[in-house]
Amino acid sequence: MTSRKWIALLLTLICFLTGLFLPALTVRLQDIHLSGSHWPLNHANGHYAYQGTLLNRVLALNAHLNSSPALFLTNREPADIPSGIIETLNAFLPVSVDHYEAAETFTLVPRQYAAEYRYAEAIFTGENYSLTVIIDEETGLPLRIELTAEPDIISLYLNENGLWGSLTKYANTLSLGELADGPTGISTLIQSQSAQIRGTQLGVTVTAMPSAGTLLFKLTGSVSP
Amino acid sequence: MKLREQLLFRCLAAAGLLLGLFGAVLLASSFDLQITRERTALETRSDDLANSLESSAVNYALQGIPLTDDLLVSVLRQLDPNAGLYAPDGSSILNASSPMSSDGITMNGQMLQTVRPVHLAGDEYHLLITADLSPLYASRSALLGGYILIYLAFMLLFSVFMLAIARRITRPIENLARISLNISEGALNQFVPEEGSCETIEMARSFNRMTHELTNRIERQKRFIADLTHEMKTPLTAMIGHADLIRSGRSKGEDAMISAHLILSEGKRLNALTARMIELILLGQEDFEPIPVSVQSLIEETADSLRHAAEQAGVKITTSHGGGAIPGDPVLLRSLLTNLTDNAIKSGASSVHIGSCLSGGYATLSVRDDGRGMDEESLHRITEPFYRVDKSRSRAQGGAGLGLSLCAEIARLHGSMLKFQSMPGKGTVVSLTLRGEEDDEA
Repeated sequence: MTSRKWIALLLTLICFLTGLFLPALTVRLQDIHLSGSHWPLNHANGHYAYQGTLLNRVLALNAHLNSSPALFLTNREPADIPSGIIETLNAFLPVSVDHYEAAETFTLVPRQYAAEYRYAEAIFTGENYSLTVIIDEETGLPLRIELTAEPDIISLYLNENGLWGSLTKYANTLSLGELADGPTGISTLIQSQSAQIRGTQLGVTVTAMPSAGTLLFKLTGSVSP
Repeated sequence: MKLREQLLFRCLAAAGLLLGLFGAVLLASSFDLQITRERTALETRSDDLANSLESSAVNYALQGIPLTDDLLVSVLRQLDPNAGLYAPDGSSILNASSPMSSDGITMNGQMLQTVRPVHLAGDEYHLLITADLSPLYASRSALLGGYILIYLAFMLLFSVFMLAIARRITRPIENLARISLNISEGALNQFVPEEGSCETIEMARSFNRMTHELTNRIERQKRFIADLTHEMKTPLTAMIGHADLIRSGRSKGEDAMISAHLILSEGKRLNALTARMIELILLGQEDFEPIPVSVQSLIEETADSLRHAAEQAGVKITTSHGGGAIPGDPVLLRSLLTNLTDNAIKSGASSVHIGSCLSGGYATLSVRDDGRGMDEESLHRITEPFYRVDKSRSRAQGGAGLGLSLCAEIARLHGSMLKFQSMPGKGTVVSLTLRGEEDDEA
């Protein structure tokens, strides 16, 4: 065999072995390159841009209404509310809601946290009722509905639906899930029924004072240590 | 090194390198993509966990429940049992090793870990999440093993395939080389099989054509030499015989004179034969610049030069011409026309006509006689060297059978060929068509 043939054979063998082991070599080099690699986070503080969970906002609203020092209120200003809320209210309230008289938004900020929770508050009045609704701006859900009407209207409504029926109507409006049984409290002056929404830390409560002509629906939340 | 081996080696080398590159790029890019996906998924998981943890912390704060490390551990375990947490001072609260690495995503062996800040009750804690990438590494190792098997199998099949292809490509060339060697050793009647691709078929055809032409030429040369030998042997034998008679004294007086006359006439014939041979050989090497030759001059001069001989043979020569000029060699054309006219005079004709006509840019020269004419077989062989229609008469007239061979060669040099029309007993017309042009004077 000539020397040229030997050289050609050798080169072919080198190319053959290169083709055989090149992927393994590349993979090894890739491992060396990857070992100890460090990549910065795309959005190190990105999670602060959120508006909180519904539970956060429910807890914040209820804490605010209970004058809790854990948060403070900012930015109360006039605003419009979604027109769909009137249809929602007419669907389960004993009065015919027409239009809101005043509406404004407000923001709650938990102390020591960068989150902000926004709500809208609307006041409706009619000949025989007065209605205050607080709506979660993020989801559009009515978190709190407080109706003041003639006692007969409230009594008739309660007689027709009962506390559980009223609660169920409100829960259906929220569309957050099925209700589990909850405690019922009845006294001569105040009737109250609460229920957990199954699988969540959220609950709904209806409180009625027929003699005073008030009916209160609210979404509640709780966490335990 | 054989062409077949060169093809095989080069193709194998190229295929090996290309396949290796392809495999390397594919494996590396695929793994890189998977790592990027894992990184993105881990960061998203880290974001979600940080959100959930902070939401829970906010909820405790809103309910007035103090946020202790135990409470954080409890919440985090519920959210993700494998997650770790560093206290604001960098110490581990849950599932975290010290020291804490900087914020970001870090590759640690076959583990990917994310450290991100999370703000709880005004303090900056750090959340640690890890992802085990060992399944990815195992999958890549399996792929690498698969690649090696595929590579070996492919290269084996490719070698066999390329060997077959290389054989197919080089077979015609090897055939050609073998047959060329055989031809060079004297085996002339061998032909290359016309097979393979268009190029190799064309090459084989050209080679076979060349071999065929070469064989024909060699055959013609052999026949020519055989005829020449025969032509020279006859007069030489006669000359030797008569010379011997004179030398031995057996031929005396008038007989000696006859012998001397025969020796002289045969000697002249040999001389003429040698001259024609030289002309024929020279014509084979002729390379001339064509110049316009007047057709009128050509015809008239030829007729004039042969008129005396024709009158002695009782033949009348007439001419006619259409004018014009022919691009060619005047001496060769004159020789051609003289030979044709001389043959016509010797054909037993009573009249010979030399004529021309010019039409459509072509000039046709013709010599017509009313002599003995030729049969079909003679017409086919008439331009072969040493061929004579009537051997005894031709020899008696001093011919060697080379005149028409010369004419045919001159016609070929001028890009034309002789055309014979003849009938036994009726005469012969020999014509030659050449590219012609009008006379300037005309």
